[in-house]
Amino acid sequence: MSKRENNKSILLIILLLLIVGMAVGYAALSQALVINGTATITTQWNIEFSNITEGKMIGAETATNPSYTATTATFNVNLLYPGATAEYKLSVANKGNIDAVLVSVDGIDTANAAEPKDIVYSINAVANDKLTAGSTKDYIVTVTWPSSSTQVPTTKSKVATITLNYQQAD
Amino acid sequence: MTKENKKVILYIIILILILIGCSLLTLFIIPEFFESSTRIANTILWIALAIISIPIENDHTRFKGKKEKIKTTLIIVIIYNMLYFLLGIPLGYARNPLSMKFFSIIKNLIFIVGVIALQDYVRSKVINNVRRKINYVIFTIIFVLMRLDYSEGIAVFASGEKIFEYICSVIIPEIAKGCVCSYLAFTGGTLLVYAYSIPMALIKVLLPIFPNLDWFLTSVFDILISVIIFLYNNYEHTVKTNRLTRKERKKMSPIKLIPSMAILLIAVSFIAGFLPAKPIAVMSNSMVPTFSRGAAVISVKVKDPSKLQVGDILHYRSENGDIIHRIINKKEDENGEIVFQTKGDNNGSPDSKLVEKEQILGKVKIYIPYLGYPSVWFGEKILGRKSSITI
Repeated sequence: MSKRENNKSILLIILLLLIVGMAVGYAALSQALVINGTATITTQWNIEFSNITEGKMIGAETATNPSYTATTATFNVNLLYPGATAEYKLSVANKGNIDAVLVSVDGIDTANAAEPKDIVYSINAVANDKLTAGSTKDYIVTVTWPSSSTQVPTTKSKVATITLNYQQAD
Repeated sequence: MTKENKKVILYIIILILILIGCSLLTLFIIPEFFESSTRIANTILWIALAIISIPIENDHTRFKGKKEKIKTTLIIVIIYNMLYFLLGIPLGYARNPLSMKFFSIIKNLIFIVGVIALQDYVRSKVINNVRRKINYVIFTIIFVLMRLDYSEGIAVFASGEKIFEYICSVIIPEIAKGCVCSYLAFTGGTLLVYAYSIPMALIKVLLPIFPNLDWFLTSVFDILISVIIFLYNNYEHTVKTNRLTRKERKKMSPIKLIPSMAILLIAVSFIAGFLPAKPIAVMSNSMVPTFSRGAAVISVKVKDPSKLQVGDILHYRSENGDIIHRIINKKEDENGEIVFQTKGDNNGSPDSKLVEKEQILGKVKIYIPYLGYPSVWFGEKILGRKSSITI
């Protein structure tokens, strides 16, 4: 074996050892890492919004027509009086060929804790809901101004970012 | 032609016909009729193809130095992945959608890594048994087509923007990967292709997190690794199969390309907006006479928006896209937050909505006339955009 070839073997071994070291370090630090969203790593995994439509509207007017992209769905609604409620039907499609399961729904609590607290969001999606490859699921997102509310909020608009986290089903 | 040669040619013809048939199966028939069992059907298909390929001879003089090439490839793949994962420190990490449970990992090893291994085995057998250059190209195209993602169907053609994203994020990286895999198969056989494709596939199945990169950066890195692997292997191959002088070796060394690669990466980061300054092409005449349509401006990120002054040119995000207009008033809203009133120099009235801190993308510092025209044309004709876009 030439000197050059030998050096290469040594470098390869060092790199492999480094990887083991990094894995140990990662295991120790993984609790401290901030992890956001889902990575796009394989084309076999492809979950996206396929539609958004207006549902039941009581005392509510759509301000801008609901729209969606693969990863975001947007609606803008005006609630006219306490007791008003607006529903939007959101379709999620599994266009890949790996079965998926909804692991968590984030953002509802944060949105509802923000001002104005009189505007309340909810979604009927629950964890462990399965979305098999090639199938579509509909969820209802509801935004309500409770009838028990007696005051007109000082801040009159509220943005909610709701995240549906899917993972491969076992 | 000897009896043995005739046998090999017959095998290749059969394999070619099966491969073309399987392309049609993979693209159209399996997803349509097998739906959630697509992965199983696809795996069985590739097992069958691999079995058929076994009798084909696969040893060549051009495999000289195969071990060295494998080591070089492994070293590059490891270093690349280390650097790639370090990107997560500034950009954040995202969760792997694949489950990390034991049986799911086994499933993914079979259906994802296993299929890639089978595909590259068949690729190596085919590539090393064709002789005309055109056949290399044809088989590389067939393998690229078989690995492409068709799940979105005609939705890919919904808009110019979607087509552009699909070409950049799926087609170009797959072509780059396909070309480099075929080249590795040609110069080192199955094991050399495995040195590249298997670790890359294993990482996707085994690691729980990945750097949080958007489609653009993911594509850039996919193409980059293919280019680096090709350059280094081409160098190794040339050195092993030709008698080169020291001077010629030095001239060919891919290390010489590191500065150009670094410059290219910096340029890509600049255009993509990962550096504090970002170039923007102006698509309207609303800021005439300061700058007009087709000008290129440099937008610099603003650390503290409260320091922005009346007269500064603001780059901000609106519902209709990115806008570059001048600040004509700075005030506080009902919650005590600073908001800006903006207006195009050439517009008769201010913009209808006030700009909040969260919308601010940068402050325009430099403008160069005409430099942004190619982007303006591309944005309007291909992407169908009307506001300002990145060059």
